[in-house]
Amino acid sequence: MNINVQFKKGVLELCVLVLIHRKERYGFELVQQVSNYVQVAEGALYPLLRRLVTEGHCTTYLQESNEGPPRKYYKLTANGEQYMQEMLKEWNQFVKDVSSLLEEGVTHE
Amino acid sequence: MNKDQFLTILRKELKSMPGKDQKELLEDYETHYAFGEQTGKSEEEISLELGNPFELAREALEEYKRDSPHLMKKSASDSMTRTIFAVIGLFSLNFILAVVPIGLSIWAVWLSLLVSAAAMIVAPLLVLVDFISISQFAAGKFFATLAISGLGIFLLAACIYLGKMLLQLTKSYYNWNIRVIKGGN
Repeated sequence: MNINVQFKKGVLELCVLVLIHRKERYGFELVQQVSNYVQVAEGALYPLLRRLVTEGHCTTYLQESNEGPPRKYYKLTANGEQYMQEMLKEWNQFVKDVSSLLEEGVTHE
Repeated sequence: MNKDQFLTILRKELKSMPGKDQKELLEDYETHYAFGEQTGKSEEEISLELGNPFELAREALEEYKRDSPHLMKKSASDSMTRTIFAVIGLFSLNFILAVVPIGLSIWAVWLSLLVSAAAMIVAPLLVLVDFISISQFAAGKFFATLAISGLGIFLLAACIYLGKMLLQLTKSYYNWNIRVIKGGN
């Protein structure tokens, strides 16, 4: 379970980075997007977003909206984009390795 | 659980996070409720989706510690008493159990050895002085001082080696003191 949590956290980070990269989004929107795909305690994303900001991968800006409170938008920095690319590369490699292991496992048995 | 209950728990659990960061994070959750309600959800439903506030606070603190461990507030009273006891303890160790005086006297012994070595090395020069002042050259004396000079060189080498060791020891003892006061491990 614990490993699962750590693992999920890393993956969530990547998901969030990719979503922000595609389009600048505000917190609630990001949370909705992620939870559309991944089952997650939605509240866990806010500390993650804060960390991305303190680590300099993202910046935020406020935008008033007609309905509801002002929205805090997240934007990827150059640093954040590079970080995302590295993570993507690692992720793809990881997925490739795991799938080849699984395939071998199945064919050899 | 409604919004107030959820936020109260979070606020309580996050109290070791510095005020500004804690406030911003709580605001994030608060606006989440506002947006959620716009989509027609009740506070209870939103709380459920957000997750267990105790768990969330624990994870938030972990994330936070990863980046700014130095900013974490040790609960203030705790770290204060800790520091006071550390200082008292180190003071008695250093002065009542006399680690500092003993350390200083060891250094003094080392210094005197160093001075002796230096004196021994220059001993042949004294024969020269002897020669100049009484215009007499005693070969026996001269060779004896040469031998002493040789011994002096050995002593000097030993002193240098010993000095390095002592320095290392003093340094690590000093660092250990600082670490204890600062409350590291």
